[in-house]
Amino acid sequence: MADPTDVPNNFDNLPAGDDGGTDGGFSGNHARIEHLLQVGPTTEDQKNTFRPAIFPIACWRIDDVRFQFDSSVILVDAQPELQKLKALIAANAKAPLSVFGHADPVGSDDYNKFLSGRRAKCVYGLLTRKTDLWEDIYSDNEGGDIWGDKTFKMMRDATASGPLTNTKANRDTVFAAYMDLVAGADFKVDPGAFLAQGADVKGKGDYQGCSEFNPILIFSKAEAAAFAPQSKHDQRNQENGPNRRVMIFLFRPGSVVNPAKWPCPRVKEGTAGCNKRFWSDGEKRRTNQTARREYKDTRDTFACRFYDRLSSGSPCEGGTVPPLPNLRVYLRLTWKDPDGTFRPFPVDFPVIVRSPGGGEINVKCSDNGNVAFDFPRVNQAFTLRFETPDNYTGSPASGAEKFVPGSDVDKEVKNGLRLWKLPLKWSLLQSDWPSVTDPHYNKIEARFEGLQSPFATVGSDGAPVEMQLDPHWNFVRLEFFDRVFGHSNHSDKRIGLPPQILEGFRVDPAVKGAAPSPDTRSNWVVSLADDGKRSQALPWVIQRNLDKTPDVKPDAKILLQTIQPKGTFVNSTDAFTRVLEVIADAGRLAPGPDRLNLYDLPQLWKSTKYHTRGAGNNKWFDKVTDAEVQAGNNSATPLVFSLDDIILTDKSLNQQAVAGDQLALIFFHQFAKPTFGGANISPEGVYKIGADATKAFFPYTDIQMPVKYYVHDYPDWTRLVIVNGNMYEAFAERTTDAGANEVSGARAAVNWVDEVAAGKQPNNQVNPRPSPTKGNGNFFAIQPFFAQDIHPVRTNCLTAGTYQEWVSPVPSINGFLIGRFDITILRCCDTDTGNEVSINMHFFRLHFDFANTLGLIPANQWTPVTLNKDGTPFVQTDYKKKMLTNLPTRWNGPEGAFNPGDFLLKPQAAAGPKFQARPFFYAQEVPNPRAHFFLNIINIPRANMNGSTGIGNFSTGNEAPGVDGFIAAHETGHGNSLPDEYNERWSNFSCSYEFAGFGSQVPGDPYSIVSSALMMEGVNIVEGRYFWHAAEWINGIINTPLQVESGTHKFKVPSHPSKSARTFVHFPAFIESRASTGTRGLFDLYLFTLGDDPYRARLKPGVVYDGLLNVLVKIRVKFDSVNAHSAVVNPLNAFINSIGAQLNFKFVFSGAVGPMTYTNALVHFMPRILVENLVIDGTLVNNGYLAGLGFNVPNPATQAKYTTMVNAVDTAHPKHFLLHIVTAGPTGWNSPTELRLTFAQLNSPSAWMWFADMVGIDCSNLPIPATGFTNAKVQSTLARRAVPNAAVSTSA
Amino acid sequence: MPTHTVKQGDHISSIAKQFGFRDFMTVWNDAGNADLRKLRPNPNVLFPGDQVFIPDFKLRSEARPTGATHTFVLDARPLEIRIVTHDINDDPVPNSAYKLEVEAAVFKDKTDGDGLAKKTIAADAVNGLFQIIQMEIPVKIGFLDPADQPSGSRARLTNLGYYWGPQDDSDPLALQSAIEEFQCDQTLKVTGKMDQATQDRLKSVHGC
Repeated sequence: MADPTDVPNNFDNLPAGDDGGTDGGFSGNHARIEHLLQVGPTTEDQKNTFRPAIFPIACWRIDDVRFQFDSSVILVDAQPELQKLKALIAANAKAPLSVFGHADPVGSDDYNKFLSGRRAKCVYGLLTRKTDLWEDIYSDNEGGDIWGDKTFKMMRDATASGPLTNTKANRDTVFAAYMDLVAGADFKVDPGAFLAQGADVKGKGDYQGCSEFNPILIFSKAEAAAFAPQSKHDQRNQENGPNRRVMIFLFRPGSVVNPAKWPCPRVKEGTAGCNKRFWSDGEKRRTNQTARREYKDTRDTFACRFYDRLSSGSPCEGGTVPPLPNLRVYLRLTWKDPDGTFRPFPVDFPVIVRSPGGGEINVKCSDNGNVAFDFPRVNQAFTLRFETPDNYTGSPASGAEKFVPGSDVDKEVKNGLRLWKLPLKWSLLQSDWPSVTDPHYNKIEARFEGLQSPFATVGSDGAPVEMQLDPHWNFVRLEFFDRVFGHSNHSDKRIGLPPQILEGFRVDPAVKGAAPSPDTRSNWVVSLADDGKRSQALPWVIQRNLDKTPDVKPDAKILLQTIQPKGTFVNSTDAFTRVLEVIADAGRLAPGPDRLNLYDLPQLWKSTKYHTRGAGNNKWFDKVTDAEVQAGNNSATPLVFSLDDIILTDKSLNQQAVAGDQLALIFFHQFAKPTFGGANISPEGVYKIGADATKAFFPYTDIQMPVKYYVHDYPDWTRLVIVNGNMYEAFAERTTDAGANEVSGARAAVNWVDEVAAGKQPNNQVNPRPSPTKGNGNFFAIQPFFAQDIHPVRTNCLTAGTYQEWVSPVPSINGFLIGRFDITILRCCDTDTGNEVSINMHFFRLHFDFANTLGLIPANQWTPVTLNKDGTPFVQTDYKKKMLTNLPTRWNGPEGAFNPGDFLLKPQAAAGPKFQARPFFYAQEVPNPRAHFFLNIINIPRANMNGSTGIGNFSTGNEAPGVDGFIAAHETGHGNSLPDEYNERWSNFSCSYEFAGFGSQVPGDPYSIVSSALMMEGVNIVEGRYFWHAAEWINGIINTPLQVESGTHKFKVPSHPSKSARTFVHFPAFIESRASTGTRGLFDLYLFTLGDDPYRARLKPGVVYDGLLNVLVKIRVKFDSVNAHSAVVNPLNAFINSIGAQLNFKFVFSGAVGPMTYTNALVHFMPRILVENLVIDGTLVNNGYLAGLGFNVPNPATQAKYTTMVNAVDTAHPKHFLLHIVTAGPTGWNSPTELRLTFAQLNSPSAWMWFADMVGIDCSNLPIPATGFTNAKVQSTLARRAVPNAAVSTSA
Repeated sequence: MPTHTVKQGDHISSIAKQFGFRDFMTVWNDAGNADLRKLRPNPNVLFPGDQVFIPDFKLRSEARPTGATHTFVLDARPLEIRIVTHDINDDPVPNSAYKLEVEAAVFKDKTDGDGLAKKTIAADAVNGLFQIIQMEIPVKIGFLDPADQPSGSRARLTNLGYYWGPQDDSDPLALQSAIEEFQCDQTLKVTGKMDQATQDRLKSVHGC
């Protein structure tokens, strides 16, 4: 509704009866008579006597014209006067009546006594419906006043009582009907309401005739003489008309007279009693004197002193009532606070006293809500209205209430005052004051009335009329989760916002931005000390319109709103102390362990379309009912709004609707199952993970969004929402209601970058890969489709050269990027022993296909999977569920011997930031266009995931750990940009140079020297170096060098300038291809840096190597005779083993190159074997690798295929040497690159010496052990090629 | 010591207290007030303009043996307010609940069988409020002038419910009416004049 107007409309239908004359009478109030007791105190036994005066407070007069002439028969015409009397009695409740009849001075005193008495008796009988009194008058023809048959007929006709004959019984009927006709059927007066209460059966004290003793007009002598002739009597009688009248006085309430002491004689008694009460000059007063006298002028026309005293100044006798003294009104205005305590309106609270005529008195409350003012009684009634356009009541914790101008509100809020805004313009009528009990207060009309009575009082000094405003408090709880103390100190419960200003609008103005001029505001909070119950109270003072129609508020049309200064936070200074604070210091707002103490408040929060809890019954605010809003009128059942409600937005913070069937994947901030009672949270921290495998996404979440951008069901507290494969980060942003937003002030979960934009779907190389995107405030960063570019190192092997750091000679290398996942850093997810805990999420979007939908597998090479490995029926959803739950289990740990689960990325410097990030793998099934990987689940001998193209192939058993390791976890490592660590395995002939060329090897292979089932080598164990690229990536985001900590290990290697496009874990610090030296030396050198992880410790127990210089020699082997796998594998292994036994773990060096500084780097020798003419037999094929390449036994085509492959490998990776195993003929170096040996020589313990030639150290004449293979030679020939200042020594 | 000129509301008890006397009799009975005592038989009903002589303080000594405890009883007369209430029929209102506020003191009691309300009050009390039979009457203590003064008779007629006009001489007709009505009720000769007989009767009916 609009602002109330300034005119209360509650003065209709004021009781009348006080406003003077009609054609046949008059009514009015007498002057007020004040008692005063002036006493003498005494020390003796004197006393003071008090007796109240007997006096009327109001009068009513009915004139002669309402009676038949010279008769006591009252006429129907008296109806208006009777109505006046009715109103007068109503306005002067409990004032007893007495009727006085008067005659004119014509005729005898006795006759006039009878006649005046009969008229009084007639009126008394009429009012009391005593028909017997009328029958008495009828039957007793005193004097000449005969009612007779004509009166009966008149009354019978007037009442249409029918053809009744004039009998006593019929008269009773007709009299009663006539009385009802004249007085009105509903106007009767009980005999007890008269002055003597009917105590005297003849009416003494209740009605009497005054004869002709009290005329209001007495003719002059001359007039009396002129009227003397008979012919003038009509004129005389007419002039005397005003003297013939019946008066009723209304006496002070509580007055009761004893008839025995009442001076006036009964109607049928004579005039003696009257004469006794005459003025001492009574007879003179009755006498015609020189001048005509009128009572209103001379006050000396009444002979009866007693009557004169009663009628003194009576307006009914033509007297003038002196202006009534003003009524001193004493009110006390209080209001019910939200806790139910009545508080006085503050000093200076302005009150406008409004009278029916529009007159106004401006007053103000004094202390304690008291307001006193002088009210002119003639104005009859008043109501109160208030103009408080910009004012508040302010309640301090103790002391007097304050009247606060709007300009001081902010200051007083800081002072701790509880404030609420008074309406602009309002009145008693529009508000509720339920407990006013003053008899003059008309609750329906919201006014004090009947004040024209001289005896009306409204309160008194010291006992004012209590007026208690019910402001109609509505309770609203704005709750949030304390992100640092909520779990530890508040039982995982949301808590109420500390006091702040809540605003309300009677009708939502539906404007964008903050709506101006709220109808109500308040910062009042109930249950302040109880976080669980705390709620704000908002008053809705105005409850009806000026026409009295209800306009009850609050209802479902209202708008609630809060406005905070920009940068307002709830600062949890300790577990139970929270203060609102405006923070501009960017340092305090930056991510860090203390940042979680600050909870950001929206600059503008509005209830429009917000989700409601509590009384709101989990509806959106535009759907709540009036009753639901009003259920919040009880502090025990407030309307609840959570400031943690989540709106999905784009990076401009505009709401971003998603499809209606999309489900929200909501992550609890710890990204783990909470240790406290956080129900419905999966081991990965997913809220309400569902079980229904038919849903579109996995994990099956139950969180739907009826409003397609609004998440209202979530854990306390939520850090990340994923919908449709896109991340929505929730920490420090709020929605505004600018732009397309409908919900203002909710937590914005922001999609800072569209990770699933078109053009990135699987089987589609993403080129270029996206750069990192950061969210506002650096709480979030993401790089979708993260990859490393390690692979192209292979191509460089074709040419000779030396370089300190490898740079790809091929500009277009993107096809060889490895990795397709979204790497993110989510800052401030938690704290741990004073550190900020961040989550380094590695997010995989996977699409499962069981039908070769893309057609990438030749039709004749795939069959649908129908059976699991154990022969049970294959169920697609089971397969997906296993893979997607097993993957994070393996990569995040803890999982037995495979993953300790304690990996943390922490600053290398002890004095670094109080920061730690936990790497966190998560995989979700999404539709193909949104996936990183399209996974064909088919019957295939060898699984793979191509981190470049996004195509993967899995068969049954790959989805879970098994005898072959956890294949899917390994392949996911490729998706995570990690290369294989086994392709150049030298210690196992079955997987050697012969198979070089798989897409993801590390040339020079630093991590398969000691095989121990590492995830990227043996498909099982997760170690710290697998997270180094993440540490490097985060370093690139936050500029803090990190290390990967796990147990006692603190893995780090020097930072690569690309900060994660490459790292020095799998990327060599130095490469030299086809290095040639000495007589025959020809080899490749790879220098790696080793960080602190379990692998390094396993190289040689008790020794810590920090670098690895791999000397790699590629040897193509040709057998002249025996060439079956079973025949050649042992001699070749013996050759390789003799090299290792003699040369490896012998030489170490120190030195520095580029960013690397080594103190104990190992020189390691790695022969690579490619058998040119191997006979493919069952032993080899059973290895599985060849089988995976499609070699089948026995099969001539297979043999040819093998030869083709060897030639292709040798073309791509040219051999350094040809080793020809001959059965006859000369042996030894046949050419600089061809060595001829017999089987026996190959098997000889000194075979290593031939290898020494290959690396440029001639040992052909040296004995075993290879003492001639000296530190100095290794230093000069090998180590210093990579590290110019290398100093070689013997390894421990 | 000075002479004190009585002003409205003064009575001997309040004057004595004002000048530090515990017992007003010390002042009242002083020889310097002999004329006043003749003029005003009731020391608590004085008239503005009356001159009250304030005597010097006198030290009083009493001899008692040492080594024992001696009790001295202070002889002071309590000042009382005594009001008899009648109804409009002039019958006493016996055993009727009343509330009497005198300055800060609040008394709630019932009248005795003769309609008398009697309470001890402070010597310097002036303002009161008497609530009885649904009426609330302001009380001015010490404002009752001597009965032989026009203001004194008017006040008594007021207390007795005969007069309710202004407390001055601006409405002689109302005053005459009151006097006549009183005379009539008392079966005195109705003259409308405050003659000695009427004055005496008025003082007697009123009680002081």
